[in-house]
Amino acid sequence: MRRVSRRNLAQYAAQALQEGAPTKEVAASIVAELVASKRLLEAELLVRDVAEILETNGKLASITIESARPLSQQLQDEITASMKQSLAVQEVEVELVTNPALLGGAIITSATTQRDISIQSRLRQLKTALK
Amino acid sequence: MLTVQLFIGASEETSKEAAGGLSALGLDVKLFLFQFITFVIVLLILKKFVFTKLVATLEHRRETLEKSLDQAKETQQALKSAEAEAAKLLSSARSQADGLLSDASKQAQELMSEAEKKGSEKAERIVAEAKEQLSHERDALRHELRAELAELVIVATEKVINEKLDSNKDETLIKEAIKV
Repeated sequence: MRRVSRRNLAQYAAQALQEGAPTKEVAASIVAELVASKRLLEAELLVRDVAEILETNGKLASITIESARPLSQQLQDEITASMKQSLAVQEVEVELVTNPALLGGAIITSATTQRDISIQSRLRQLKTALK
Repeated sequence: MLTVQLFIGASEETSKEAAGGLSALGLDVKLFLFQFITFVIVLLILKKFVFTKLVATLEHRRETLEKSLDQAKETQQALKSAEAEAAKLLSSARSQADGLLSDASKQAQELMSEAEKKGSEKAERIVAEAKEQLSHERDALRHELRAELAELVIVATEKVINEKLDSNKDETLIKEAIKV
């Protein structure tokens, strides 16, 4: 059996999702292929590849907002709108993570970009500058 | 002998004739003639056998002496020439020795000067290295102090932020940041 590359699998999945195929079905077929070719460990990378393709094609951006404290809904909406505009995508999927080590601010990560506006990162920059 | 006897006989006759005159003078003519002839014979014999060899010997000796004298003169001249040569060589050797001494002195001075220069350069290098090392150490110390200071500043800032930054301020901070 011919082995399909990860990149091709990701493109197939992204295309299927864009054409409106149910997410569960696409995921099932992809997982089946990974299991058959004994590449289940590549699943996470494959998901990232799919997200990157979808984001690049302007379809969907999956963003993670990491902050020191839980964010209000209003702020979440503002961030979503801002990211939608800057990434030029139709939809934005948000995942929230709380990390007190950031002290303040947030880190917004998508498949292709990362905006680090956390106080922890600014302090790190200051530390580097002082040294 | 026969000739002598004939001669004596002839002379006896002649002497008898002349005896009258010479005897008056008290001279024995016979004896005189005999002695004369004997003398002539002896003279002839001597001339033939002795004088020639004697003269030759004397001549040979004279030549030998002349040669010796010439050789002595030549030897003397050779001696003078050798003395002059020796004086010349001595003078040349002295001048060479003076030159060598002068060169050696010059070389010694050059060596001393070079050694002094090297020593001076080495000392300067050691001082420069020491200065450089001190500078490095000072920089390292400064860097260390700066790092420690930065650490302290960060820790202090973190404490202040933890105490002063509430949710509202944090959200305001995020809003301002995403607008940029």
